[in-house]
Order: sequence, then structure tokens, then C-alpha cells
Amino acid sequence: MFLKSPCPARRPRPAFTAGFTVALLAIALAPVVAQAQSRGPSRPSLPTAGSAGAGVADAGRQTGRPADFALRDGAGNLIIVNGQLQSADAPGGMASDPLPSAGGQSATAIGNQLVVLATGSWNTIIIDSQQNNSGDVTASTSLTQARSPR
Amino acid sequence: MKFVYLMSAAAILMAGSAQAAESTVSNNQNNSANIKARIGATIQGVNDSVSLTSAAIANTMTLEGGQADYLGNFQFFNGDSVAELNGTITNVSGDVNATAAAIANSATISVDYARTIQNTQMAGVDPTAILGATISGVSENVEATAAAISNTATINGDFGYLGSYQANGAAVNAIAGLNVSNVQGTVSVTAAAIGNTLTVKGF
Repeated sequence: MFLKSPCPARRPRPAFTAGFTVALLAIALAPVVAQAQSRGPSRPSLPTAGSAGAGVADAGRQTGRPADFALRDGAGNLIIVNGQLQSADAPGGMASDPLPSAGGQSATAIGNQLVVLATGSWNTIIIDSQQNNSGDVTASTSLTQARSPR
Repeated sequence: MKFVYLMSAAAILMAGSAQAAESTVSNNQNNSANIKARIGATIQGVNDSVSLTSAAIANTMTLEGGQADYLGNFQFFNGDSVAELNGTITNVSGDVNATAAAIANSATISVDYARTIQNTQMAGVDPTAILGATISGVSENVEATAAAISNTATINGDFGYLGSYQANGAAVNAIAGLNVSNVQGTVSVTAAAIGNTLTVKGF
């Protein structure tokens, strides 16, 4: 059975009343918020579980994008020598030629040398290399040259 | 009948691939003797190029192939590896190349893929390369090289794991002395002495 309310029909509220109320609240609370924000010198915040996931270079805070550092070279190769990651720009990690080119006189003495040349892309290269040198390594040149008549 | 033929072909392919995957090479070289190469040359009036090479190599291994499961190389040298080149060269219309190379242990591996590669090289006595030359009257270029290496390994190709151990306890000497005159082209002299070198390339 449907009972009709004996109360008279409510008078509709003006549409601007709700927004006006929110505006009043905002004005009233503004000093409180400002006071809370300017309370004395800022202290370093203690670490929290949330901040622990910040990641390298604070990358974890920003929408989970990967950290901005490169361990792969331009072709995407990742080189690990004796458990050490070789940065893409690490000196000695990759070389183009084991010996300098000869021009005029060249004397090269090397105790231990490791050269890794990766020509493909997106490879992970793991090398376990041990080199021990305990001997004297000597290279010498002598050149006596009389200029040729031109 | 067609089904039978297809099954046979599949069986052959599988056998072939299984055989390739199980390839194993294990190289073991020991040398305690003296290795010496000597050239003494006097060359005059050549209407072409001149090339002289004196090479002393104690242990050397070259391995080329497709796919392998395991490739092992063990080289041990405890002798004396000496390469000497002494020459007098005059009046050559082409190039002059002179090389003295002394190597204790050398390994070259070129494969498409190997699951495991293990390289071990040890040298105990001195590789020595000595080059001495007097060169005059050359119309082109002169190039002279003295190279002494105790342990060298080069690996070309893809692999799952590479382990390498190189130990050099020897003195390594490369000496090049050149006396040149009347050369129209360029003159280059190189001396390279290396204890241990490992080169990995490919992928």
C-alpha cells in the first residue's frame, strides 16, 4: 500500500545555495591551512615505506617510469665482465681495435688486455675472464731514416 | 605414404640438430721445448715487393664451426719462443714488409654458437721478437713489425658462457730496429709486446 506523505511538498532550493556554502567553507578554512603550511622551518621528513620505492634518480615517484641511466650501448647490448656491469660509455669496456695503428714508429707493451666487440643488438654478454701477468713486457723500436731526395 | 615420408624427414632433421647441439671440442696443448725462427737475408735489386716473416709459435689452435655445446682450450707453454729477422734490403721497386713474431699460446675460435667456452692459457718462458733491418732504395712503402705475445685468444660468435684464464709469468720482448734511406713512400715501425690478450667479438 502506498502511503502518501502527509507533509506538504518541499520548496525547491535555489541551485546556487550548495556552491555558496562550499565557498564559505573555503574562505573560513584558508587561514588554518596557511598556518599549517608555514609552521616554522621545514624539517627533513623521516623515510617511509612509500618513499623507499622512489628508485634511482627519484624515478619511482613519477608514474613509475624507468630510471634514466644507460647500461646498454647504442645497440642495446649489455656487457658484464667478471660480474661488473660495463656502462655504455665505460672506458675499456669496448674498444674498436686492440692495437693502435702504426704510423711512423709505434711501440706498445701490454700486460693484460681484454677487448669486447659487440656488433649485434640487444645482447647480454657475460664474460668471466682472469688474466695474470707477472713478467716484464717490453717493446722498443729504433728508426734511423735518411730523407729521400724529392 | 606421404605421412611416412614426412616422418622420416622430421627424424633426420631432429637427428641433425641433436648432433650439432652435442658437439664438444676439448683441446689440450703442452709445450716445453724451445721454438726459434731465424731469418738472415740480404736482398738486392728486386723489381717487385719484398716480404719477410719470421714467426715462432709454440701452441696454436684454430677452431671454426657452426654450433657446439662445449668448447674447451687448454694451452701450456714453458719453453722459449724466439723470432729473429735480420735483413739488408736495397733497390726494391715495390713495398717492403718485414715481420718478426713470437707467440707462446694462440687460440682462435669462430663459431655460430657455443653453449660454453672455456679458455685456459699459461706461459712461463719468454717470447722474444727481434727485428733488425737496413733498407734503402725503395720506391713504395716500408713496414716493419716485431710482435711478441705470451697468451692470445680470439673468440668470434655467439655463446652462452665464456670463461677465460690467462697467466703469463714470462718476460715478453719485442724489439725493432730499422735503418732506412732513400724510401719514396711511408715508413712505419711497430713493436708490440703483450702478456695476455683476450678479444671477444660477434653477437
